[in-house]
Amino acid sequence: MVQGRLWRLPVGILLAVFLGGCAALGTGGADRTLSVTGEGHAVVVPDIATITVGVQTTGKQVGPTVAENNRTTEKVIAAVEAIGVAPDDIQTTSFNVSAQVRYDEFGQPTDEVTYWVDNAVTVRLRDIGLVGQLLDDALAAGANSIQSLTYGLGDPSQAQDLARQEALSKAQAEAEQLATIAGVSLGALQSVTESAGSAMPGVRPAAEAGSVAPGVPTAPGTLEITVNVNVTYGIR
Amino acid sequence: MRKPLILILVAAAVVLAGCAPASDSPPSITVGGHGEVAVAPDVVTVTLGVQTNDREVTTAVAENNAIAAAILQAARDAGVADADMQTSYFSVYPQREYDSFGQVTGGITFFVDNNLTVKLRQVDRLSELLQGAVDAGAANIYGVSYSISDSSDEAAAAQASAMADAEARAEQIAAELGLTLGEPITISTGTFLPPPSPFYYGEAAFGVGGGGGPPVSAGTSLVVVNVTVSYAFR
Repeated sequence: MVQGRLWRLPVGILLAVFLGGCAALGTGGADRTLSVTGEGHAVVVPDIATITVGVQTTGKQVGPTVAENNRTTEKVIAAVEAIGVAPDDIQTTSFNVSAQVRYDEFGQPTDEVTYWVDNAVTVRLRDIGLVGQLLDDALAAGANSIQSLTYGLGDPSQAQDLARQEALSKAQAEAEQLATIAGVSLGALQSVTESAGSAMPGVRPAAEAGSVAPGVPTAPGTLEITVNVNVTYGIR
Repeated sequence: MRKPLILILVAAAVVLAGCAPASDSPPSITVGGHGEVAVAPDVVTVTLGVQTNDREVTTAVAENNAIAAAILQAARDAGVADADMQTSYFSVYPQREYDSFGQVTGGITFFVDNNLTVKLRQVDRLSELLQGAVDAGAANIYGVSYSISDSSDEAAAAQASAMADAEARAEQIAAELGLTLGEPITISTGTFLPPPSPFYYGEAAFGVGGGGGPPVSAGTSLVVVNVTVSYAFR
């Protein structure tokens, strides 16, 4: 046991030597820094809605099933255009035909086949007050599948500016507070790094939106824009 | 005594690593920038296929071949170049038959699949292509995915817009902190075409396809560039 401990002494000495050398190396660099992160938010009302509207038809023969789908999809697109959506804001995002063979009770394939035809367009609606009406009109025209409805911002830069401002002042306040607590003073700014987050659905719903618009009740609510900044100061 | 020696060396390595002088990177403001340019898509990709089945594998294959050949011809007729067609799936699958007691009867049904993936460069003929394929017997159709074949011009414009965005962000940060923004120190970029999904803006519109085929609309697609820029400051 005694022998087992003896080696610890030289280790300690060596470490002390290394650390001493380290301190000597370190004197030249401005290694003492203080880093903080500030997060800023801006809550905004979305101004664009993206909706995928589809028509699914089914039948025993592929030709008539496609033809029926074509007729209905044409009406749906016409309805979407009728409320003022530009053709540039309509893109076909899927056209699928699939065949499903019917099996009998013994698991044998029969000659009976069911065909499924899907045609879906994704629509960008720049007047979100019309979301309810668009859904209503599309469904009335024969759409039978609404695959998504998301809200967004055409130009998030203004909201980002606000969030950035808040993030920076929070970071500065945090740095000063931390320096005071630690008993150091803040030196020169060394780096600022921003990471802008994406827009997330906000916490506060816009109360009036759902009830006023015609058609299917929808509430765009709010979007929350987040900006993070990481700020590093030298300390004295 | 071997172990202690190793420990000493490890400890020394760790300590010395910690000694490395702090990175020499100059003081900087680092931000991201985002740019996007809308463009009318000039390629649309779709998969056209057919499945047949029969108790005789040769019959199932022969039947499938006839329809697959008709689909291929329909694609040619709608303006797809041979170089833009590829058989993406061919499969023959035997399925055993069972009787009402769950016993194998010895009979087999063969399922044959043939899928052709085509790139159509005359995007305004998509409706014609789809209808032609259905008329030729295609009962498995997947996709419709619009894209941009050569986005280099748009990418340059999107890059400029991304750099301007980055600079505006950095300027704001510098102003808030009472600094003067300097030159970029490092710039890195990633360009990507987002997957076919809702894209808009843009000038050209193909509108709803006519010809009695499936109504389709090309809309516009976005070319997106993201940059990360570090600026010096004073």
